[in-house]
Amino acid sequence: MMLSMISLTAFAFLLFSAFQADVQSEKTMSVAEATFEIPEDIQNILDKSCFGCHNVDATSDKAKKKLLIDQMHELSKIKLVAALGDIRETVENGDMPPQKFLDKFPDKALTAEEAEKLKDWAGKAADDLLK
Amino acid sequence: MKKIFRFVGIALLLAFVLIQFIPNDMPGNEAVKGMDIFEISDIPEEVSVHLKNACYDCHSHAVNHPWYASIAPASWLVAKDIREGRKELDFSAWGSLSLRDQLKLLVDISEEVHEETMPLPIYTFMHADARLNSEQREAIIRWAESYAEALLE
Ligand code: HEC
Ligand code: HEC
Repeated sequence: MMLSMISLTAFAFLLFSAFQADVQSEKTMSVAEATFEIPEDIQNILDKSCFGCHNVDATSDKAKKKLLIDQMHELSKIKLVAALGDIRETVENGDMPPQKFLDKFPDKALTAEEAEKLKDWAGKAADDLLK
Repeated sequence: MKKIFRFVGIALLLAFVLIQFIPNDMPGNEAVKGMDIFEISDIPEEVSVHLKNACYDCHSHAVNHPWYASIAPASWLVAKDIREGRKELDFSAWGSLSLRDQLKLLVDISEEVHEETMPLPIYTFMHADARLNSEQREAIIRWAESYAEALLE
């Protein structure tokens, strides 16, 4: 009986550890400042692969909370640098657009060249803001 | 019936013992000296305590391992959290980051703390001193915001 108790406890411990869910964050943005413009070639890439989910009229609240491409010019300098950093990071990690979406719309994926361009731009735009 | 119960019990216990022998790649604490955020900036006491208690076990190279960190499978989780936590944010390497990365992380910190997604709930479950009340969260957020402003100047 004792033995079963111990092993059950161990088992519960195992389950508890194994089923740790991924915790996700949500972000809010605010405050106006600065002139910020997205160059046309970059805007075209964003329009193709990102804009559909990340604009004020989009349907996914989760995506909107994280990034509103059409509202980036409204952000404070700090938030804008952070948003550009987030874009860079997600593109670098290949996290965006989400895989589930790409399964349905494979033509919306970033090409390697587009990803590179987007990353370079996000890095440079952030550096320019900090000059 | 009793027999089956005992058999399952022994099998589980055996599995628990056996997994202790699976090597676990626990990240070490070797840090580059002089790069820790505490060495670079003045952090108010009301904030520094909480960064140390609630964040440093995953986001630094000054990790204190809790007792369960040497028992599988919890040890695997601890190792994974440290590995992934440091990848996102390593307070011990703060000084080696670019200004733009520091600003991004300060915004991320205030958002994660505001949304209460950090510290990880699984961690505060085990560590009472890492549970932050709303006043303490506010203090961290205010610090992150004013530090970011100061960096811009
Ligand atoms: C099908 C809809 C969709 C498309 C297309 C899409 N996203 Fe997202 N994006 C989301 C959702 C949903 C989230 C929130 C995910 C979460 O909360 O984990 C998100 C989150 C983000 C984040 C915040 C990540 C973080 O955790 O900080 C960034 C940055 C981002 N997306 C950039 C992009 C970029 C750049 C593109 C185009 C290359 C893109 N997204 C295309 C739906 C989309
Ligand atoms: C038990 C380990 C653990 C503790 C304690 C912890 N974190 Fe984290 N943190 C993680 C892990 C793992 C990740 C990466 C995966 C994720 O985002 O969930 C992370 C990610 C983050 C990120 C990046 C989020 C993003 O998506 O951009 C920030 C910022 C952060 N943590 C801040 C903090 C702060 C501030 C504290 C203390 C108040 C803290 N964390 C405490 C494990 C931890």
